[in-house]
Amino acid sequence: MKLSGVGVVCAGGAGVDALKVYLKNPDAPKPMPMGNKELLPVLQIPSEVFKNPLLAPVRRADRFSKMTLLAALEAWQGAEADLSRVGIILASACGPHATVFKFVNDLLDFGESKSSPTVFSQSVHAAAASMIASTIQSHGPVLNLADLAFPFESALTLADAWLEEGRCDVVLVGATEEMSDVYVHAISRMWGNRFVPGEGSFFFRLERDGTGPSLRVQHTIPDTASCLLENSEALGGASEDRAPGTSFVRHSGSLRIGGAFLLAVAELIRRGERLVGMTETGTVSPIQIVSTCGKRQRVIVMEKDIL
Amino acid sequence: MRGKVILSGLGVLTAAGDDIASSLVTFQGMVRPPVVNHSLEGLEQTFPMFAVQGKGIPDVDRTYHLALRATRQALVDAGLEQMPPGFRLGVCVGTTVACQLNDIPFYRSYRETGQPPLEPVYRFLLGSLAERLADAVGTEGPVMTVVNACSSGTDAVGVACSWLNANLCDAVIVGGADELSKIPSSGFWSLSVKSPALCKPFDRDRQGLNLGEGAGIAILERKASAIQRGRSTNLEVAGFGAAADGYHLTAPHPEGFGIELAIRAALADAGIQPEQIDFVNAHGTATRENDRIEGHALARVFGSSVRVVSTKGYTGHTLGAAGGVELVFTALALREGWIPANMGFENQDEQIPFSPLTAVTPLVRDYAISTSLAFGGNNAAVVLHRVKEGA
Amino acid sequence: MMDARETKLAEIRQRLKELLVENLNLQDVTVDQINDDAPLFGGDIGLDSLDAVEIVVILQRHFGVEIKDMDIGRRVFQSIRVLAEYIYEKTNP
Repeated sequence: MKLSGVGVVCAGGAGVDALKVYLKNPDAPKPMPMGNKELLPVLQIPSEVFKNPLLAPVRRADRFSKMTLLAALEAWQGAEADLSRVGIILASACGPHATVFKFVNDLLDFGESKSSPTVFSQSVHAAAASMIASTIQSHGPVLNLADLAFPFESALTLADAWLEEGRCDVVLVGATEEMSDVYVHAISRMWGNRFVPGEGSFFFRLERDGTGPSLRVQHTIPDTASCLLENSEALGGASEDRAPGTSFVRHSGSLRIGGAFLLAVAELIRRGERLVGMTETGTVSPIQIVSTCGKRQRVIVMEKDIL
Repeated sequence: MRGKVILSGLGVLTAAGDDIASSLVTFQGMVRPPVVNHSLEGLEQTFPMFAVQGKGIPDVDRTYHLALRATRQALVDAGLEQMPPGFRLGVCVGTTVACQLNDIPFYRSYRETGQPPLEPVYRFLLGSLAERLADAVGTEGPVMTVVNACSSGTDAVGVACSWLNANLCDAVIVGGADELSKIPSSGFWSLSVKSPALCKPFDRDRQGLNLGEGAGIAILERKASAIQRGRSTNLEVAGFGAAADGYHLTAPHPEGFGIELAIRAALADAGIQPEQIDFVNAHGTATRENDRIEGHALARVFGSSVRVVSTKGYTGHTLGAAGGVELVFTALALREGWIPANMGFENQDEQIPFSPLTAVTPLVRDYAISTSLAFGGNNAAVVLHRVKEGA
Repeated sequence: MMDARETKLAEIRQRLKELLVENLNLQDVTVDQINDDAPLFGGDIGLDSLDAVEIVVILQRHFGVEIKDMDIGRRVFQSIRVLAEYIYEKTNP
């Protein structure tokens, strides 16, 4: 499958250009404290991101849906496709948990018979992707998945299958993860300060053919010399044996969907951007993103055009 | 569908029965299972809920245990309790409750004391529903938990077919599971779609849905693989289709645009015409909107003489499990040669162009279709085929 | 000179506007811009079916008024003025 569009929302702000600036800045990113009593540094999405006028039509969207929609719309920009053959896949490990807790809060404050239907509707995992489909008016399949080990890599594998079998002509594949006070509380009690959690949404427009770089997912690292990016600091899933490669966890924060952040990074490297901490640039191919969870790993391989 | 995909095993657990055999007894007898009359805090009226009767399913971690029980039934049915060496088994299941950390006592304790017990978090971090089932069964194949709200189980079938078409595995544990939970109970009440009476799918006087719980699991397998194991069956997944309404967060498209697209895509994938379908296992939640919109779409595609049943009259709306449960019930109808009756129907709604089947009805054709419409506008349909001997 | 009833109705109308803007996340309209007689559904304010059930909850939580079925809802949600009058009738029998 070929990559034809990228969209990013993360601690560095909204947009691939913002990510580029963020990853070229020699100053280390500053996580902001989040939480109720005990505070934990979190690489949070800046609040001004959520004031984007593109979000005005989705007035009832929660934070999770808003970041998802912004990233998806950026990846979608410039696409021309039969909308009945555009698919959407959204992966997450923990989903819109801030909204789930908001709904439970409602239940406890007002009782089961006076809960908010809007908050309930938003707390469902399927809400965010539904907003993408409504906004771009697509009618192809929409698939939401929630797994802890390799949610984004599974999503990419499925997108590849949809394109190969001709179910879709274009697939918008993305991953979103958010943080909340309740999660911060649980993380700090379980792991202390070991992790700086991150949040963000990362989308990729994929087509079967095209001029962009090709992507595939496999279970082992190819032998060829290449550029390696690694995601083994995924929250709570950090392996004893770290995969070889450059980690951008200081910029992404610990994310189960870290592979998605790194795929956006890979695209910047492919375009020739020299990023902080990297010696390789776009001359190297393939670029590989290795995610590990326990003893398992998944590798996203990005190859430049085959000449 | 590229290569042949068969259903080599089935398992189910709902209020209608703790397994296949007892579910068939319920359907033959046209008996509504007993319901629990559940009240919400602050309301006098109660709501019928369809609970699983089965003993030995704990309340804690209930969705996982429902899924595991149905999975074990299906694996035994498929002769896969012991997997052949090198057998690649995937897991793709849907849920709406088990994918969230939504433990109310945990959150209440967090609010009140600031130091809640962390057991619910540890349980959540054991893995997603599909990941935990894969661990329990001992497989390293592809794994995915689908969280597409009410169409999750049916969408899981689509994913499984894509995996099998791509030769990522030989078979897939597919379906869905969900337990009764206060969160959707309260949420659906606030959306004004819950009925205080037993649900009446497609009926003129229907007042909304009843919630239910359960798990429906099938083993989808490449036919060549099943033949090699000596466990082939004549039940095939002939086609799958999915489409988004692209319309609204909670309301379905008023013309049923997405569900019609999904049904037509499934028929095209199966390479058949609408008249080859014997019956539809409809989503049929018994809400005013769903049944009217789905009813119109079914009539447009299949004509007003379409044979329709909603099995939710026996199980309630089992949310993430519904697509899996209904896949199993549709397969059973093809296997047994008869279609269950649509419970609760008394009077035709003049806004719906047909009446559902109100008696146990013999099958006359060899294809059936199961449909699902979800919150957020996802629509999915799967066509099943009973292959005649010698075909 | 306003009598007690009219004063109360005006308060209810104001409170309703505040609650709608806040709870329905209305972006393009402020409390002062909402006309008492403007249609809430299908007009410029453009509320939809999800807003309708959210308003039912707002009425329960903030005014203690129950809408037992949505046919009543469709009738009384016509405008701020009609809704305020319904709330007043229910809370001042």
